[in-house]
Amino acid sequence: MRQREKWVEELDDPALAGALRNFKASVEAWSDAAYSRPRTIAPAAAWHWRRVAAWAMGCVLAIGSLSGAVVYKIHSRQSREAKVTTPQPVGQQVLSQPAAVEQPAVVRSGEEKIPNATTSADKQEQSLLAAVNTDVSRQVPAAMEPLAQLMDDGGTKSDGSE
Amino acid sequence: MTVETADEIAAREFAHIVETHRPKIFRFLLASLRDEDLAETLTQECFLKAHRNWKGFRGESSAMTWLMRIAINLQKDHWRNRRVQFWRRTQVNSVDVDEASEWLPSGERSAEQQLLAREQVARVWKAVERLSERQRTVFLLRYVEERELSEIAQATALSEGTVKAHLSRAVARVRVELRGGK
Repeated sequence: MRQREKWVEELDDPALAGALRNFKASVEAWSDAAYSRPRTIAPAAAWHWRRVAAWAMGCVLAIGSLSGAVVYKIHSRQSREAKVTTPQPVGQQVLSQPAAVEQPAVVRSGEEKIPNATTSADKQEQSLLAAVNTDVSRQVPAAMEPLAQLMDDGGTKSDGSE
Repeated sequence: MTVETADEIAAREFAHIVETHRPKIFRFLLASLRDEDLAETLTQECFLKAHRNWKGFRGESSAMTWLMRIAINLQKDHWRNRRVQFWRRTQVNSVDVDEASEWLPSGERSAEQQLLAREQVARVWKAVERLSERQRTVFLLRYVEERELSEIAQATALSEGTVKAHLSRAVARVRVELRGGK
């Protein structure tokens, strides 16, 4: 009580002192009512459920992203394996054919420079070339077989072997 | 005859401290925050911290000043977190100034006196709302908790001169508000 009187004297303004006294009394009344009010645990329960829901959502997202990554890896591996097992397209075979023919040509040009080249080597080379040609012509995909047969037929006719 | 251990004595002393000072700490936090649930939560945190550090309390200041200092720091942390986590959805239960001024002790007053008192309280609340955090703390410790200037200085870790300066600015603001905010 003495303390209150002290700060009231300090203020030297009865109107202000009265207002501050009312303010203090108001805060005390509110505080007493709020302090004795029974507390409910509903907000805590709501908070708990929100947390559980957040965890569940997090788990679902984590599992989803993990399984997505696994599926993507399996899919990419399968497509890589499929690429390895698939035969080369016809266009690429046609392009690779002259290269295969050119390579012995280089050797042949080298042979021309060497006068002591044997005839057996020539024979081996020719047989190798023939084998390569036949291999290449046989590696035509099934869908292109009729066209390949036509090409074969044309070739034999022009040669006049048949 | 049983002999009390040091821990038992400390626990008994602390229980007495809680019983004596808990309503005051709650009142100070309620006036500072105008949020009953938050004031209750911070009061609990205050006593939890005090319990953890009770053995380290040397009695250099009174227990009330020590507890008030913890409460002020908790309040500061709360405001800092609110400012940093502005993006987070925070549940705000702060009571409006007009609602806070509805509380008046049920004394033997006439209806006119009660109306006048309510209006005065609302004006003081408005002024308090506009004060800085430090000014508000000092003002509430002085005029609601009726602490001595030296105690306020200890609780707020300010010098007495600074406390006086904050107090005089806060009082000037309240005075202006009571005269009609001119």
